[in-house]
Amino acid sequence: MSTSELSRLTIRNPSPGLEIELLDSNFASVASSVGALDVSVEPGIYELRFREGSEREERLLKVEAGPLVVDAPQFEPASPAPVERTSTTHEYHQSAVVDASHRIGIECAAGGPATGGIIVMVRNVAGQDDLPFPADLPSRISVTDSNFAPLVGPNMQWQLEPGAGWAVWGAAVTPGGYSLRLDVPDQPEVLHQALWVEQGWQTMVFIPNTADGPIAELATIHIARVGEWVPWDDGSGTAIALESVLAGLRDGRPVVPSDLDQLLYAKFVNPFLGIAGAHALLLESHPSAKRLKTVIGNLQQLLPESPDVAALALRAGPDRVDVKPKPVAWPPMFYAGYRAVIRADATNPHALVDNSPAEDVAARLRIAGLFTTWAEPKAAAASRSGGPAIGAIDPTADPLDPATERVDAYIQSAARVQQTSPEVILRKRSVTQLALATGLPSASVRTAVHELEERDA
Amino acid sequence: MAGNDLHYAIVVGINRYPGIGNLSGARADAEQFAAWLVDSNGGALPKANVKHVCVTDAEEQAFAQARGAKPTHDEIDYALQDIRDALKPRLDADEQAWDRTRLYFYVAGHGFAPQGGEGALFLANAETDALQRNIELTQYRRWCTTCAYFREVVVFADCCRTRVRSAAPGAGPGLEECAAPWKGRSTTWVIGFGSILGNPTYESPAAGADDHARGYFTKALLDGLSGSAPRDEFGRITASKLSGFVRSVVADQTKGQQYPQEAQIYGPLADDITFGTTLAPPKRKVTIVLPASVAAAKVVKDGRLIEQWDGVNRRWAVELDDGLYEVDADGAALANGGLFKVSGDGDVDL
Repeated sequence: MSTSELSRLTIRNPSPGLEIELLDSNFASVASSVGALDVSVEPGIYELRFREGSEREERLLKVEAGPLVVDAPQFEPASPAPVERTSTTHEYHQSAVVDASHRIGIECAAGGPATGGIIVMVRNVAGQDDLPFPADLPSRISVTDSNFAPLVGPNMQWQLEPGAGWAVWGAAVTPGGYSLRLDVPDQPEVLHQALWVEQGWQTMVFIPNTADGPIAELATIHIARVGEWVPWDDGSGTAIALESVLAGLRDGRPVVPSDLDQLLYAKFVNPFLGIAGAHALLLESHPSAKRLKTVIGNLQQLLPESPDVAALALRAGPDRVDVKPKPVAWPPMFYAGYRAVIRADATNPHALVDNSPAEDVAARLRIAGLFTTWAEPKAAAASRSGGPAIGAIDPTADPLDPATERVDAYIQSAARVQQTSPEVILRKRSVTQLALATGLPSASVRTAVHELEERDA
Repeated sequence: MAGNDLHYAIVVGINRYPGIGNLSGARADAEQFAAWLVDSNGGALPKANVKHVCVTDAEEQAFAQARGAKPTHDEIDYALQDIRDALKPRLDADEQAWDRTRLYFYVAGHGFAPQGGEGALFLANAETDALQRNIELTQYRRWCTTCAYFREVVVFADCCRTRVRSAAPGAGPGLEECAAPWKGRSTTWVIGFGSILGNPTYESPAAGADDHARGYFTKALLDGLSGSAPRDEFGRITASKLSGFVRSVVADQTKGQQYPQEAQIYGPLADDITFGTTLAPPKRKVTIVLPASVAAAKVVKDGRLIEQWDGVNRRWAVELDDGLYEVDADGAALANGGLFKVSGDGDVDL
């Protein structure tokens, strides 16, 4: 067929996060892209599939020779963040966050040690305005420092507007690792979700309230320069693209905006989109090495201390990026990144700092969507009702060390299959092999092996 | 000897889960897949190369509680061990034979997305407080890649990938990790799941007995492998072509479910691995309902005439392959411009 008999199919006005796939009349995928599609195809019958976050549309299409322009659907996707051009925003929710952001900007400019910020917003998204809002939110969700002590003080209080369906916690903080402590009534465990604050940036967590209460695993995270979060224009476009990327990651699909590199240069840049986009790139079967290098390199410039960027460099591997990752001492916010750090640590024990929170929490990880979440040690959790501040984690407080338990379970299972004794397995398997098999840091495995050997002796 | 004598398979199907609730069609799905594997128009494997890790009806009935129910992790690892032990001497005797090796790993049953994993099958002895009784498919795939006894590894999993808040990690093989790939070879792979991460898979409601129930994913997969999937320019069914077909059919057939199922088949092998079949695609019974204004009509696919209406019965019964079609009614107005989709038997109301 000559090119003159082909049709040039163009999708007009797609948003940056719009997923587009074209299937031919035998359901074979002809082309797919995010945020743009311009492709030459033979005349015939096709199916166009659009998706943006939770919104979907499918259209059958007869393509004849010549140019064909198809208008993209203009979805208004849902987002836990109150940004323009989503179906779930409220102006007064936007104002509350803009005000909190502004206050952080002023405090950071004052010249103290606090040069970053954290904002947490819980809200009833538009369309679910009548959901009961938890009046006990401050006891359910708190922010803790790197020693797992709650951040408290006159400027570190929840601003609660239950009648209006929102609450905001915002504070200027020193850069470093933090966690969101989640104490949900009737749940057997208190959970922590990793947060990281980079100098000059504020980390913002938007948690939707649901019929079951606020669900942190459905949260969206933004990273904005201190005092500069905007829910419209570039800020809105970036946030909507981020929702598509996160929805893809939650499904295990690579959704990478075609203009991801440019989005990282936007005026109101959100590096969290870059982190999420790089994880999405790494889901592709054959990710573009050049793109990975550019995106991770840019992120390294923006967030030089971030464990998430170090984790991305480890996940991508030294052949594909120029970034030399720093040893990780605080769990990355993205669970996929944390998993990459632990895996890298099996063969390169310097990937993760021994005796750091990043090592300590690995054996207590819990599945909670995309973000790194772990259970609080039982001894610490026991003190939550009226006891003193939670305080630092004492690894010896756990009645049964979960890392040792996991290594032991693996050794028992391997012994059964190999029809040998656990002692033989323990002797034969290297720390690297055990770390890979159990998903634990090598230092935790070494400790576990030592304990098991002592027990057996 | 069958065509693909260096292709091996582990096929697992579990219906009976005393600890977490039973399924109806998983074992039948596994048997269907095994039948395709040994079919000379399908996988063309010798029967001896297919390891069934399934129990019988009578055995299932005897499992009153999770403890003691089978198959467990061990049976699967024994199968993997047996295959490795059968293959390795053959490779040691003829290194070139490696180019013809492939491992199929098919599982059907209850599943979840474990911590750190992408999809795991619960074993028959799983319990709500013992979810670690599972096999994590990515870890098995990774073990195969690390050891590289097979040139190609194909994993298909028809089980849920819902997330469960639990510390239970995914369990990999209990076999020793290989220090290095066999003779420095590099294994490639493709993996197929019945749903995206976080979502369930479904069994189609069965007419008649429970054991007629089938997983939508396995049914579409077998239809595709048996000839319904589109071919590449060399007439071969590649995993990429299979993927588009399976995704489309499964999505169409589960669109009424709470979480419409979105199958995934991916991996570096997707464009290269081929599944041979000489069979013609199965025909679907489709009834096209024509409006009164239509005087003449024909079914067309990509400009090719497929069927011509006889002008008599406005409930026009035709047999079509899965795919996209157009009814050309000489300019008469039709719903959706006359375009329609076939992904199984059904009515098309124009």
